[in-house]
Amino acid sequence: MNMAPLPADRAHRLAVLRARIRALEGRGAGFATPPVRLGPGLDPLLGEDGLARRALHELAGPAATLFALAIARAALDRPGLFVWCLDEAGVRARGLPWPPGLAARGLDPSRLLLVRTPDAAALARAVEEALSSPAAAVVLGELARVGFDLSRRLQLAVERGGGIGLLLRPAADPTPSAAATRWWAEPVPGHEGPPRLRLELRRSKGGAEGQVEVRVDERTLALHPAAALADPKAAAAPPTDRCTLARG
Amino acid sequence: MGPGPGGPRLVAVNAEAEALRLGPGLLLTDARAACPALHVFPAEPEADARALESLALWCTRWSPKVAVDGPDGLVLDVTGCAHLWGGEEGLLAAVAEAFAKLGLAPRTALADRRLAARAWARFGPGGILPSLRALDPLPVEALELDGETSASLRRLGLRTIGDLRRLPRAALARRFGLALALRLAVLEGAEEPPFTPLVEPTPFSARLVRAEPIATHAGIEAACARLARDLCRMLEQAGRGARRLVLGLHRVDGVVARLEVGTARPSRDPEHLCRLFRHRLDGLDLGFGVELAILEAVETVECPAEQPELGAAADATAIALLIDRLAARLGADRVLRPEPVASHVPERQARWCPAGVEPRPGSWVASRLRPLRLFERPLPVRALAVVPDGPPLKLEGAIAGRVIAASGPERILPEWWKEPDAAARPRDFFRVRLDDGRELWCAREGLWGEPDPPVWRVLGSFS
Repeated sequence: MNMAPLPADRAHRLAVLRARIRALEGRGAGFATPPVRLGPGLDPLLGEDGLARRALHELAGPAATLFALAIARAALDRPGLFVWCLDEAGVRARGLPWPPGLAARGLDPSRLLLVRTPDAAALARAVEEALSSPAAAVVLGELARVGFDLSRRLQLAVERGGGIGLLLRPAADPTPSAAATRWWAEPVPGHEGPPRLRLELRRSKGGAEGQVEVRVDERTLALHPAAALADPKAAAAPPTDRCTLARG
Repeated sequence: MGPGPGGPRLVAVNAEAEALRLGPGLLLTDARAACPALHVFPAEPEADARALESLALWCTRWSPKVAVDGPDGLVLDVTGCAHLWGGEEGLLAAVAEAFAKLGLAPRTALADRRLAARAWARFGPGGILPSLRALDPLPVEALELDGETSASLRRLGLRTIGDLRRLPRAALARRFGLALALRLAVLEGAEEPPFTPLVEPTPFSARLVRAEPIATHAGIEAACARLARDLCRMLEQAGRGARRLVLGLHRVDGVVARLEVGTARPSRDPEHLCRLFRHRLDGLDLGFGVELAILEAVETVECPAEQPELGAAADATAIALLIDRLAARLGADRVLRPEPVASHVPERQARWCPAGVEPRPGSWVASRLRPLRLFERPLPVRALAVVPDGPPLKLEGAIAGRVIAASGPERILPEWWKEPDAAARPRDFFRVRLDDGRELWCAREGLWGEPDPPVWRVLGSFS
């Protein structure tokens, strides 16, 4: 342990002590992983930071997939794979990710790895394996039941791996979990134009809770606050343009 | 007992039955007449063949080149293997002892030509063939000739191999064909065609023998670690990396379990290879223990010495390791990457192929008209829509709701030049938003005015 004398300046001293504690906890100095910035739409809930990496986030609700993809798009600014894990029950209930649709919204399908397991137990193990790998920047797992033990194991795995773990739950599950944040995402009905989501932060380690309404930009999956109402250009843009992503 | 001309006939008999002079080929009725207390079981040739094959795998402990010989024999090429058992006598003794532990008493023979060994085992006393002369008293059937040739040989009074060897070879060839002459030449030392072994032998293999069988999974993992280290050292010396490996675990009761793993990139990292096998060892039944473990690299690729990797190369390795581990757990067909397919039918524009294989390059046609998720089987629904080609106003059935906004139609005709689409109907695709906010991709298949009414299906979702 480093027993050099502490610097005199208080703020500096606190930083040095924090670093030593991190080292003692086994998390070393080179562990700074910047959080995932989701855009101004979520500032009221998350503040300046965004969603933490090396952490799990639970997403539930009818629009959970869209929200998860928005997070994934923002998190893929770092190199690594986007690993999508689901089991046969999930394929039957919700369908497979569709690469042409993902490509149109700014997600490169060549970074996508689909893991399709026969049952829920294999799915849990596969998600753990993917979270603990440094090769995965984002891991999306559609787990129906996550007990506290499993969520703790997944949390440890994602701390080793360094990516961000998104657990897509089919229903809101009140059982306690080791996830850093827990969200409910549903589409806002009754309006025209680009899709709108109501995102409710139901639980977070920092204690923040609340809900916010955002507008999803379909081209980039960026989340804009819905209060700044639709500018006429976005509303009028017809959803019929096509673009081609060339791959070598 | 199996079917035969004139009624069921005996196929195989045990020692006691042989003592009573009941042999294969005897009619069942005659056999029952001779011995009323006969136990008869139906013959199962496929099960016998499978059992023989697994016995052949078990014999790889003595030599990697093993093959099945007929319905009831095995042939092993033990060139260069005998010294491991202290010579040819020692090898035959070890073979006899090992088979005795399984409860079998085969007739064994060892010679320097397969034909000679086979003849000596089946028609002679067995053991090491002392000299070529010893084959002389054996009948001509020992030469593996077809029935017609051996019948004509007998008719001419040529009953033993010795008789044949005394005749001029050219005359024999003219009268009975080249096959006979070639076989005699083989007995006398000519090269014979090699046989195809059951399992392709590979130069990269490491084996571990334990006098005390390993009966725990932890023990197998430790054995695997040791074998992986030895094998990787061999691979490193040869400058190669393994792409496919097979771990053969020979259990004490004669069953051989073969576990196969593959890697996305050639590897000679013992840690990584061990981890891949660890996933496969989980549910394995070890029986009474494993006495021999053989790790072989069946597919290797040239792989020059690696430097410590930086940046993009290290990422690629990490990706390959993750793919390997997931594929070892779940199977290579469950870890998939998408590949673009040129087709104008939307559901065919992407294909999932195993992640270990390089995807074909191509460009993705990105369109916001396409959903985020696609159901593998489109869900049929009932829809209320304006005839003839308006968007749906209300959906009922598997997915129900009132439609508040829709965009479309996008008409897509089937690829009539492809077989499965020959009878398919044109489809109009709509992106609809329901009153609860969900956005779905649905299609009407068929047009109004046709004899069959159109069918509506939901194919995917945008949220």
